This record gives sequence, structure tokens and C-alpha cells, in this order.
Amino acid sequence: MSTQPPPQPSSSTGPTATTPGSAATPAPTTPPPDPPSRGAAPSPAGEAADFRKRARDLFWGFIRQYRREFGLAVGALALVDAMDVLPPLIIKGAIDVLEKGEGQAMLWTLAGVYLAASAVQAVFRYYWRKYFLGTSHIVAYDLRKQLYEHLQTLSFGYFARNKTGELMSRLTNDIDEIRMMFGIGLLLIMDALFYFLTVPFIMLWLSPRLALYVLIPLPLVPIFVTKVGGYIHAMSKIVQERIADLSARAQENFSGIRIIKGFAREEAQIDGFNRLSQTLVDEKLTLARVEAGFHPTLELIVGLGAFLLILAGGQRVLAGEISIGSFVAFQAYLLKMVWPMTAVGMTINIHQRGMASLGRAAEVLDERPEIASPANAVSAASVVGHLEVRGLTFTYPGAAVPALHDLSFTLPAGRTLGLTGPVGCGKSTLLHLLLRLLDPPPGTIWLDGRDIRDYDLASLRRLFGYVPQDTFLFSETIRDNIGFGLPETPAGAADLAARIEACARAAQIHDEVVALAEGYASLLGERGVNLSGGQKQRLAIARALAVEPRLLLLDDATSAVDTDTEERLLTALREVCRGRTAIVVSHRLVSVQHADQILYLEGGRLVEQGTHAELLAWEGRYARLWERQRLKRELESEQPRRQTGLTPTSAGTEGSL
Amino acid sequence: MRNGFFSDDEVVGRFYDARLIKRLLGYVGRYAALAVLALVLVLTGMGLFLVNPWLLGRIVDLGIRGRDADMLVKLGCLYGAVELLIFVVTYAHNYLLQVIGQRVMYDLRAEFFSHLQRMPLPFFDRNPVGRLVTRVTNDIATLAELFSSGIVMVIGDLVLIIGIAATLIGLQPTLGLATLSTVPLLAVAAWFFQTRIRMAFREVRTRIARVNAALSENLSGIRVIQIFTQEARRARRFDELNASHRDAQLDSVFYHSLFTPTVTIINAVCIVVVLLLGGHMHQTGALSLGLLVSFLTYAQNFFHPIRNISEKVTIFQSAMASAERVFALLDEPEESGCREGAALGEVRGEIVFDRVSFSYTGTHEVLHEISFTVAPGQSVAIVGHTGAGKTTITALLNRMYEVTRGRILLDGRDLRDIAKFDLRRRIAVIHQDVFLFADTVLENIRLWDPAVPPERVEQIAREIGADPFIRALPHGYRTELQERGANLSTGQRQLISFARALCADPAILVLDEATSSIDSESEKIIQEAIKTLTRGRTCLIIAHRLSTIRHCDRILVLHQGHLVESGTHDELLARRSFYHKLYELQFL
Repeated sequence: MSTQPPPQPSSSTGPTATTPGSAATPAPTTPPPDPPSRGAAPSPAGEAADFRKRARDLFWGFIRQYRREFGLAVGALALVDAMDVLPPLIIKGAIDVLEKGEGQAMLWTLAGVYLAASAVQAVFRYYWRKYFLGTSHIVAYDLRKQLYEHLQTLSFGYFARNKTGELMSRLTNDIDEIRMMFGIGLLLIMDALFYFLTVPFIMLWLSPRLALYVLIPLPLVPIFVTKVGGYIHAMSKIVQERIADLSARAQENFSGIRIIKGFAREEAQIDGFNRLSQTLVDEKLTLARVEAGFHPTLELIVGLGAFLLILAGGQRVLAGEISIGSFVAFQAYLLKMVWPMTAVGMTINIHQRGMASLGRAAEVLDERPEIASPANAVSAASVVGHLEVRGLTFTYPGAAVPALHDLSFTLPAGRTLGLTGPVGCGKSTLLHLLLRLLDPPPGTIWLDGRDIRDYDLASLRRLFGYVPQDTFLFSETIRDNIGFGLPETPAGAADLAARIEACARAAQIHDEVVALAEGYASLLGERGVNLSGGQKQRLAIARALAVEPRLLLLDDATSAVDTDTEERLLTALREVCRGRTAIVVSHRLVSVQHADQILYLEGGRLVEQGTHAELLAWEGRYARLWERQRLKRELESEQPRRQTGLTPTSAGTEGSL
Repeated sequence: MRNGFFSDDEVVGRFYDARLIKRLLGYVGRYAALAVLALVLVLTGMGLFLVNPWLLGRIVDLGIRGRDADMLVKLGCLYGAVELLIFVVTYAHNYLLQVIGQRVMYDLRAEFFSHLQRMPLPFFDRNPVGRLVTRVTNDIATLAELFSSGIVMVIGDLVLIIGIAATLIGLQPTLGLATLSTVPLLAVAAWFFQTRIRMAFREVRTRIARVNAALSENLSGIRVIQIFTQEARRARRFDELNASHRDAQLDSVFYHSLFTPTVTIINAVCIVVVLLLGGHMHQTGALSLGLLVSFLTYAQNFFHPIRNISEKVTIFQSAMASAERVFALLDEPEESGCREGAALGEVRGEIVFDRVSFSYTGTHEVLHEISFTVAPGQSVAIVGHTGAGKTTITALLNRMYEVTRGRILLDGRDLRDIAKFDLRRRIAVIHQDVFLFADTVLENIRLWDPAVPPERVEQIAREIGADPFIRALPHGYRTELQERGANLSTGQRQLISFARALCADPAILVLDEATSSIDSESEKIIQEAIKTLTRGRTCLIIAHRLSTIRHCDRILVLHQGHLVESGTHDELLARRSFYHKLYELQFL
């Protein structure tokens, strides 16, 4: 991931990092068909300048917001540095006193001043770090919060275009860079500034000629740090990539170990791995050749200064122009100048990377949700659930063929619709449109006689209990997962527990939950219990039921549930669905057979429609599929040891599912 | 990705473990000469480091106070030369240590990786891929760091401290001891704060891991959050984690912020002691002014090595923890019987399963007393519903797993008497989910065997019928496949895996037929390819589509680990039992 461009030492042009080419942002690839807030599409260059400006705005915004903290930080810094500039002068005084052979009293005074200066310095050093570094962590917290909360408002389409990994990088690496800029970056530059404004003048005051000699090699430092530091940073990125290559190679090897062992090709793999490993070592050593010299060079530059000081300064002392004390003080000041010089070089890099990251953060923050509530939205709270679809044609952005083609049907409130058909026939798309994860064309989907686009988005979604095809549960307790959609503090906690349990019972998962060591308090995920696919699906069903939805949407929600359990689950669901509008999407026809109405889709078109009995009588695709699945069930139930012999439920019962 | 930000390796190692260190030093042994040279350089560097403050004192005394301009220039040049030497020596040992660290890392990695290659398959069932990758990359890198910036530098820093102390006492015992009196304070402060900082930092890492895990989970589950309109609540929860991370960071800033002032104060005390006592001694004539200057310079140099050492604790701790994990895996026994055992010679290809039972776990039997014989050159199909144990049979045949009871014979010899490598080269298994490597088509077919020339690979591809589509790829046989062959269709991936098997020219072929259906055009090509593959070989075909096995010499019907029926297609159909139902299902 080349999120950071190589730092540009000549920073007169400012950070050039936010050009779309260099930033790992999918900026203008597939803009949504109708970007409401983007305005006229800006040229790439204009866009880059835009984000640079936005980055600057954000930067100053944070500075303003924490002006008190940053102000205190600068104040503390000034005091610390002032106290830090004093000691060489004190030592100078002491040495001069000693040289002249003056009294002990003066020495004691100087020692006292030295201690006092150090004490003041110590106290404010604490505040200095606290306000600079502490505030930078607070800024990082703010920005992370802002970014996350903003991301939550963005639509389905945005997350389809941007991989989770890339967004994660915004929220981790970029925030780190930004924090560095506000913390150590600001600290270093202010520190350096203070030293530049004081130390050279003291040196000039002590001896103008000597000051000129000694300060000559110092400008080398920032140039060196920027150039070489930039090179080291760029080279480290390459090394990081090699490490990534190596780890990808190892990953592939372990995943394909069956093939490797099966063909007895271990040796070839070892050779290949070692070659990559060698490349990594070579790159790392190339980097080391430069890196090993970084600090020694800085020290050498100081040494060079000291060398000049001894030759030139010694002569000055001999000529009687300066005292020995001044000579020693000079040496101390020389040492003190190295750090700020180094800091300048480092800050340039830190600032460039920080601003680039801030630009990318701004880009995320500027993104507007594609699907939002209309201006004068109507609350959907009192919707009964009468659904009507009229001539719905939907094409995914960029797709050539519509995913749904001229679909029309009516589903009266309280009834159940079954939806089936081969993979990719548009079943899930229809559910996504209903939930407004995707936006249907105006006037195509009506709920209680009103276009769903007119409803307030949140209140619309609250109508639905949705069980997605790919079950997503959170690494939290089972209780929290089932109660996911419930308000945090309903009438009573006992009430809540009862409700969760009732839903778990209906979803046929209660018994298995109770059997766990920690019951409903069991954690899910890597650090908790591992559930089977079927158990996860049933939890997702319980989660959807818990919100007591007006409309229940099941998207192939029982695909991983075993046959016996499915049987019980379907019966229970029929009970739950009574009085609710429900749409059941499934490949397994047993799940839809009791629906009031069944649609068979193919390639986005409605090809068969009717009740189970009607469709069987029609002897079309549905009937063929039914026969096939019946045989398969029969086969599965035929077991050498376990002769249960399930009889398929008879069709035509009065239930609503 | 979901919890990828949690590392399972947050275990804190001991600071020092003699057993592990000894074992680790074994790896450095190969570079003993380099290591000794590095150590000598480090010590030289430290020695040089001691020279210049003393030289500065001499310059003050002899050059300036002695009013000797020649001496001044001479000593000044010496000072410059020492600086230059320091540069050379530091650069050299920095680089040398990297070289040693990198070489050790390479060696360890090579040893570790080849060890893993030689582990039996059940090992990979036990150890998730992600964990093994972490061992190979992170853990070993941590160990290398121990050598490149750990051990030797700690020795160097210790020597420097001792060196400064010795020099000070040597130059002026009374003042030397007085100066050193603050060093224990400095060491205690460094130890105290570094421990706190380390703990705070560990807390920071745990909490940022939680923040990132929550982020990654919430972003992956963003749809569920939006559909259930839980944005506000999720944001609040995230805020708690985010704030707790911020607070941990502020804690660590707190300790940092106290540490530096403490050092400032201790340093000031030290300087003042030198100044007062040294000044007094100067006045009584016991100390030259130059020596006082030297003392003042030395006094400021203590802190550096002490802090360095206390910072190295982290490197030692994590290296010990990594070493523990790496060595634990290195000590697991490798797969035995790979090369040992009788050579196979010419294989006729007769397979006998003799009352074979198998269990992965030791409790639940996946195969139960299976017996059958396949004559050389025969094709036998194994059919059955999911979970019948079909795939397990193939894994037993090439000894990825060993039978629990019973035995398998190849040409009348127990498989256990045959070297595994030899056996596996004669048996090609084609898996239903084709695994392709991120390498060229060529290498994917010949599996990096340089003994197979590209022309031979092309010829094989032509026989299989894969040549036309391979040629149509951007760089033909040299086209790099994406991870897992994502740029190929299912049928094309199948054909490459067939070519791979044919390339190995096995005596026995085991084909686990792909389940996913492909278009009829590809289907025809694949059926042709299977005919080519099976010609003249003993074949076991695990069939999911019964259409492909009608011509097999015999069909074994497996159900829940039992062999329930066997016979030809027509015989089985005539019996109208289990196979019949399977068959009916296929043709609906």
C-alpha cells in the first residue's frame, strides 16, 4: 500500500501527497450515477488542491479547537528551553570564576542558580510533554470518532466500492501519522524554532567570529536528515513490501499444503521460499547500509563542529578574545544545536506525511451518503405493511443488464410471499431495494400506498426484521446479539431477558444456548464459542424477531440449518409470522411452500407465480425443482444406522408460511 | 480480517531464559568470526567514546592554559581524528550487526520453513494458517532484532558504563566517586519509569487492538448496523473503546512526562556536585581546570547507556516469547517414513483395502471396515452422499493420514513399508477445489520441476485440451496466475489441475470430481480430458455427477463410512436401491 509518497525535501511546493495517483484512494473510479453533493466533477489536479486545502482546514480546525492546550504547551516549551539555554552560561561563569581564582561564595551561588533553573525546567518539561503529546492523542481520538461516525452514515454503495481493508488503513495508519504531526511534529518544530531564535544569538554575543565558524557545518544537518531520512522511509516501505510478499508466500504454501505434499514437491517450495527470504535480506541490508550511517553521520557533523571550535576557539582564547568559560560554553551550545537541526529534517517528513493523511481523512469526511431521508420525510412508524411493487426495473451502476426486470406484485399486509429461483435471479436485490440499501427508482415500491423513498430512512428500516444471506454476528454475547436491534433500556431488564429467550425459542436455538457453559452470556467469535453455520443462522433469525418487525425478510435464512431442525423452525416461524407481512427467499422449496404466494424468478424476470399447489399443477420449473428436492431429502433421510424416515410435510395446510 | 488485529501472541516473555539464549546463540555460532568482530568494534567504539572528553580536558590544560598553540592544533587534530574513527567504527558495527541479524534470520527462517514442510498433514489441521504465518514472519523477525540491536549493544552499553566509571575514578578517585554517586539514582529512575512505561504501553497495545477489532467488525457488519438502525448505539460503544485507548495513551504520556524531568534533576545534581567539589579541589590545587571540564562532559554521558539498556528489556522480552513459540514448533516431530522404506520400482497399480477403518479424532469412525480391490488399470468409482467418507479414502491412499485399523496394499505390499515420497510420486490426487499457486501457468503445471521442459508441459496441455485457452492468456504459459487462480474460470482451473496430474505421470490416479457445475462446452472438454488422464492407469474416481462414471469398471457406494453396495452401473441400477436413488436425483 503506497499510501505515503516519498517525502519531498524541497517543501516549497507544499505537500503534494494528495494527488489521486499517489493516494491509495479509489477517488474517481466509479462515481455513483447521481452524486447529489459532489457538484461538477473537478479535474484531478483541482481535486488534489481541494484536499490539500481541506487538510489545511482540518489542521487549523484542530489547532483552534485545542488552542488552550497548544497555547499552554508552547508556553511551557518556551520556559523549558529558556531554562535549558542557561546552564552553559552558568558553567561558563563557574569556570571563569575558578580560572581567576575567585571565591567559593560565587561558586555556591552559581550552583544554586543551576539547580533552580533545572528545577523550573523539570516542572515545565512535564507540562510541555503533557500538553503536546497528550493533546495529540486527544486529537487522534476525536478524528477516529468523527471518521467512524461519519462512515456509519454512508451507503451500501460506498462500502461496495471501498474495501474494509482500505478504510481500516484510514482509521489506523493515517490517524497515526496525523497524531505524530500534532504531537511530536509540532513539539519538534516549536522546540527547534526556539533554539534557532536564541542559541545562535548567545553564541554571537559570546564571540561573533567563533560563532560563524562553528555554525558553518550545522545547516548540513537538516538537509542530510530530510534527504537521507526520506530515503530510509521509502526504502523501509520496500522492505515492508518484501515482508508482505514473504508472508503471502508462506500463507499460500500452508493453504496449499495438500497439493505440495500430494505431489511430494516440498523441496521446490523450500527453494522458492528461501529465494524470497534472500531477497528480503538483500533489500534489508541495502537499507542497513544507509541506515547504519544515519546517527553516526549526525554525530560526525557535531564532531566536525567541535573540531573547528577547538582549532578556532582555542586560538581566540590564546589571543585573549574569549575566556575559557566561553570556550566550554560554546561546546555545550554546539551540542544543543544539533537536536533542533535534526528536528527540522524530521519535522518536514512528519508534516508531509501527516498532511497527506489528513487529506485522505478529509476525503472520507467529505463523502456524502447516497441514500438519505428526503427533506420532508414521513415517519413510517404507523405502517401496517401493505407492499406493492409496480414495474420495478433495477440495474446496478455500471452493469449492462438489469438485475430486476419489470417486476410487479402485491403483498397484502399480514401475508407471506415466497421468493425462489436460481442463483443470481435477483431475489436478494429485491430485499436490498426494500430496505433501501439500494435505491429503487421513484414510484416502483410502495408501502401502505406511499413510495418508500418518501419515508424517513431510519423509521422505514425499523419496520423490518431482516435475516441476511451471509450471517453476520458480532463478537459479543449471545444475548447482545439477539437483542441487537432493541433499545438499550426497555421497560425492565427481566422483560428484556424474557423477550430474548422467547425469540431464541421461536428460532429453535434456545436449547443449544442453554446447553453452553455460560448460556446467553456466552461470547461469540474467535475468543468465544464457535457456532455452526446453522446455529448462526438461527441466532440471526432470533435477532430479527426480537425487534418485533412489521415486515419480516428472510434471505435464504435456513440454508445451513439441518433438515430436522428446519422442519421445527419453519413451523415456529409460521406462528411468528402470523399478522406480519413476510418475504421468504429460499432455494429450498420446503421453506416457501406454505407462502400465500410464491414467485419464481429467473434472470431478474418473474417466470412463475402462484401458490405451491398451483405451481405444482403448472408442472414448470418450480415443480421440477420440488421433485428434485423431494428425492434428495428422501436420500438424506435414508441412513444405515438411524432409521427415522421423515415424511415430508403435506402441502396445503392453512398456515401462512 | 475480523479479528486480525488481535494477536494471539500478547504473552509476555521472561527477560532472560538461559536455555533459550543458549539455543539462540547456536545460530550465531556460524557467524562467530563476524560476531567477534562486531563485538570488538562495539568495544572499540565505546573506548573511543571515552577518549574525547578527556582530550578536551587536555586541550584546556596543555593547549590553552599552557598557552601552547602547536599543542592546541595537535590535540585538536587528534580530537577530529577520534571523531572520524568513531564514525567509521560505529557505522561498521551498526552494519555488521544488521548483517549478522539478517543472516541468522535467514537461517532460522529456512530451517523453520523446511521443518514445517516436513510436518504431517494433521499438523496443519491443528494449526491455523494465520498462526503459522505469524511464526514464520513476525516471530523470527523479533528474534533477529535480538541479534541486530539487542545482545551486543547491551554488552557495549554495560562496558561503556563501566568504562566511564573506571576512567573517572582513574582520573581523580575522590571526584570520580562523587560523580558516580548519582548513577545508582539514575539507574533506579530509569528502571522504575521504564517498567511503568512498558506496562502502560502494553495496555495501549491491548486497547488499540480492541479499537481496531471493533472497527473492523463494525465496518464488515455495517449493513447489519444500518438495517437495524443501531448507528447511535454502535457509535457510543465504539466511543467507549476509543476513549479507553486515549486514556491509556495519556497514562503512558504521564510516565514519559515524569521520566524526563526526573532525569533532568538528577543530572543537575550530578553537575552541581562536580562543580562544587571540583571547584573546591581546583582551588586547593588538586584538580586542573581541564580535568574539571572533562568531568563535566563525562557526567552528561551516563544517562545514555543506562536508558539504552532499560529500553532493550522490551526486545529481550518479546524475543524470549518468540523463541519459545518458534522452538516449540521446531521440536515437534517431522513426518516420518518420507524417504525411509523400500523403493517402489515399477508399479502395476493393484490396490487392496483390507478391512480399513479410520478416525480423525480417535472416537468417531469416518470409515468402517472398508474392503475392496482394484485391479491394475481398472477404473473404480466411489459414490455416496456428503459425509460418506469418500474423500478420506484418497487421503489414506497417499498416506496423508494413516489407517486406524486394517491395511492398504499396493501391488501386494503394505503402504507403510513404502517411502512416502516414492508413494506420492506414483499417486496423483486431483482435488475437487483446485488449488493454484500465484505463479505462472507453466510452474503450476510442472510444480517447479526443472526436469520437465516447457515443451513437455505444452504437449501435456495439448493432450488435456488446455492448450487453446492457455495460449489465449496475455502471456501464454508464462502468464502469472492471481492468488488461487482468480483470473481463470472453474473449468479452466480444472484443466490445469488435470495437466498437473498428467505431468507427474502417476501410476495411480485419484480424481475427486469437482462439484460445481460448469457450462456444457467446458464439460465436454473436461470429459475428454478425464479419458486421456485415466488411460492405462489405475483410477479411483470420487464421483459427484453420476453421468461421468457409467463406464467405470466398478462402482462402490459408500454411506456414512460403510461400503453399502458395489457393482457395475447396470448391476446397481437393476438392484434399484441406494444407487438408484442417487442416480435418479442426478437426472432430474
